[in-house]
Amino acid sequence: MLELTDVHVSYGKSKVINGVDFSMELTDKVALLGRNGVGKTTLLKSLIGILPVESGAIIYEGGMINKKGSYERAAGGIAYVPQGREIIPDFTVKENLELGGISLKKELVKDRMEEVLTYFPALKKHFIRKGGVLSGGLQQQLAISRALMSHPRILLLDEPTEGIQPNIVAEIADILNRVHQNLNLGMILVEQNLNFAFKICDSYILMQKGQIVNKGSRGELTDDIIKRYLTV
Amino acid sequence: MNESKKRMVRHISILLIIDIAVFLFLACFPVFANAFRLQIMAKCLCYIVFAYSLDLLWGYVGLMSMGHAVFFGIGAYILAIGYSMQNGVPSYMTSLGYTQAPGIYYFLANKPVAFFAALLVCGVVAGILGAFLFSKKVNSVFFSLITFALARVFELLIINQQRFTGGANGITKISRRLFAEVDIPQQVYYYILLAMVILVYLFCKWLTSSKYGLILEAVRENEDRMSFFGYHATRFKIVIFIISAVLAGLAGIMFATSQSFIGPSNVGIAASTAVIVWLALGGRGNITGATIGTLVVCWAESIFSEQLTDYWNIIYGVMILVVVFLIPKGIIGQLQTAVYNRRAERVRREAMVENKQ
Amino acid sequence: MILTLIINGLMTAASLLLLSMGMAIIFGIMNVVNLAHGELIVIGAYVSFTMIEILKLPFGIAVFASFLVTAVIGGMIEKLIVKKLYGKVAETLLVTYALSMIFQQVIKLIYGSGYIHISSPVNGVVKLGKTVIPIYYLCMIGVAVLVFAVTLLLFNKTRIGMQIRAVSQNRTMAGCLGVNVKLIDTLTFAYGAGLTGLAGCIIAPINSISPFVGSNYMVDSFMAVVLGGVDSLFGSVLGSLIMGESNSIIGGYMDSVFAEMIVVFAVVILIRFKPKGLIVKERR
Repeated sequence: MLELTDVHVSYGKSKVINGVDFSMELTDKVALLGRNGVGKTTLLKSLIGILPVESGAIIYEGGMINKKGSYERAAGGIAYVPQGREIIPDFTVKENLELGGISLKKELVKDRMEEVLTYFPALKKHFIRKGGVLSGGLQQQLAISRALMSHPRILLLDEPTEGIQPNIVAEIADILNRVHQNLNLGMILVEQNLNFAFKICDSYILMQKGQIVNKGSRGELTDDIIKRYLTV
Repeated sequence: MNESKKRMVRHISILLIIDIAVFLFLACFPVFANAFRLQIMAKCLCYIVFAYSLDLLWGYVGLMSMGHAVFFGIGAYILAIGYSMQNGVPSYMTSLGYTQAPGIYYFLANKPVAFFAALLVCGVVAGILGAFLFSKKVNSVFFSLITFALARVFELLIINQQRFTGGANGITKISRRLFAEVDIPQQVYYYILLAMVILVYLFCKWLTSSKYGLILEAVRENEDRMSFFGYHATRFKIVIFIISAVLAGLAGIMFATSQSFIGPSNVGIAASTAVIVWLALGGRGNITGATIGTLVVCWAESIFSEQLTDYWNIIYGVMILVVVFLIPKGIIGQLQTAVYNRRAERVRREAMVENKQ
Repeated sequence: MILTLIINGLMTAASLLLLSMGMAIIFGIMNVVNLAHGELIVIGAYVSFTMIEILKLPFGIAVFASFLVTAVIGGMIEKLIVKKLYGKVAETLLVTYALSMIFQQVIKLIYGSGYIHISSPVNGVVKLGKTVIPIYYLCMIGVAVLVFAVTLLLFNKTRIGMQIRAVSQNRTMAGCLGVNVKLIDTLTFAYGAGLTGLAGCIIAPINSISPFVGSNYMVDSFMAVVLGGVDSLFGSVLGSLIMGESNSIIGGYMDSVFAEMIVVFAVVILIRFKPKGLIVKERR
């Protein structure tokens, strides 16, 4: 279970997350929606530990993880797929995946790579190519597969479809669904593409000005709400 | 209107008060100091001008030169060579057995020429170096490293070219004359130095509080954006570099004439790092910090290295560590922050009171 | 004549490579400017001196000890000081400078300010035509190559090396994937420092060593790393080669100080036009 209680996060002197209360089971698939600048990325960053929490608590699997470093959270099962993919351009696909599995025992890495790559057949073909030369779609697949290496319990994805061509987007939705099915992963998916988001997620939370203003299951997101909080 | 005018008057910079107090103290110093102490303070005055010169470059434009003593040295050495000319040959050369001086030296025998030549060479070198380095945005770390390397090479050159520069022993017995025909008494010279310090201070204050000064700080903060506004950051940097170099050269001239000595130890990396330490301690970017930092460190050095020569370097090193970790903005910098915070608090409270009314 | 210069240049290059490996790691990979680099070399030399001349232990032990002592010192410097100033260049320059002064003085207090002599473990010479090469110099080249090879292997073929490279290229993401970034920082710095001390031990028998010679090595090391390319370990090899040969060849025809000056100027000019050095890694 993942719980956030009255979480506040600031970037320097400006307050970005203004008191967020939220909870989910680690097998849920939740879409995190909202206009640009409302704090979605900041929320994910504070979950993975890139940004410190000013006040409030993040409780993961029963323990408070506020003070834990990113690497501890990663080892604990929280995996992050950031906006812009952030794969290491100099590393090959193989090395990027190995890096993803850095918290695993050395002997287990190869097998895990095989396992993970079954979901990403397109990546297999580019195994020894450097990450920097891959297309956007492949880089995104690499970023996700890399995140899967460490046997995560929950995946945090920040705008995975940004800048990717539509047919690849559909492929990625498929992959994420299959991954969830077989590995029983939870997901928090930040997305602007509602179509994509709801192909995967069952529920949503909607943010505005650093707070959650609406949430519900997939069907409860009416056009009205969309108009109010998501359109310009 | 009256209220805000009153407030403005109250806001006379605390820095200005400190500056005036310090200058008054310096002016009175000869009255109660013996000749030995006066000599040390005279040295401090030269170093203060040196610190001002680096503050312009580092504090305001953000270029941390690790070789600024090179300009100090150029100024000092050219003047020293000129002043030690006797019958067309510098005295240290004759004592080493050389009777022929390079042609250029001939012109330096004339004291005013030596003085202006010293400043001119500083400016020209800075101009060339600046034009070369700043025309493409050189990473600030590389600027520090390059100036570091140049300082080292300069120091080696001075030591190595003993024939022309006096070598490791430096140049001694430089007369305390400036343009006069006889030696100027120590006390009078002290006041000449102090006058120079105040002039340079006023110049720096004028430069930094003018529109020009704001541009400098803007260049330091975000150079790219400045260029989008149409300001040629490069030109500003070069001009400030030249000004800074010339002032450093002036400090060198002051040093050479008042201490009647200049040597390689005053022109290399150690000397360049020293001035950085003074600014770090006193605070950079506010001129006053340069004065305070220089005075504190130079006097600490005089006192401690007299009594604890073996341990002075360790104390010096520990002092730097303390400053970086505990007083990161320097004494004056921390003071400015404290005062600013207090005023911000007061404004906030006043605003809250006004809101309630 | 020119052959002698070239061969001597090779020696200088090897020596320089050895002395710059640590800087290639600390400055090139970690982006930390360590002004105490020269003093780490000197500490390595003095540890070696203590092992060999005072404790009468074999040279091999001295090498090992030099590496270990400076690695530990490096680790402590990183953990206590450098880590806290991450990203602040001016402050890092100042504190490492302060450390260099403290180290110099402490060494002087313990060992005195005079020059120390460490006997070479290998004597004898080899003749190559008209050139006479002390065997120790050849050993030094061997050690330089070995150290470089080991470092290359470490960085490219081991898991910890992968973590080091990952941290250097994308700290935040490396952390998110499970790399203990803070620990890697300390270990990387320690390794770089250890190599520097080891270099000090190796060059000690053939250089004049006193508490204050550290600054002699600073500029050349920086230049070698920056010239070759900060992003690449091979860059340091190239940089050392070019600098070693240039200093030797130019120094054969004019005063060595002028030679150094010319080389420094050349490097400065080159950096102005190629700020990342000669070997640049393409990054997307």
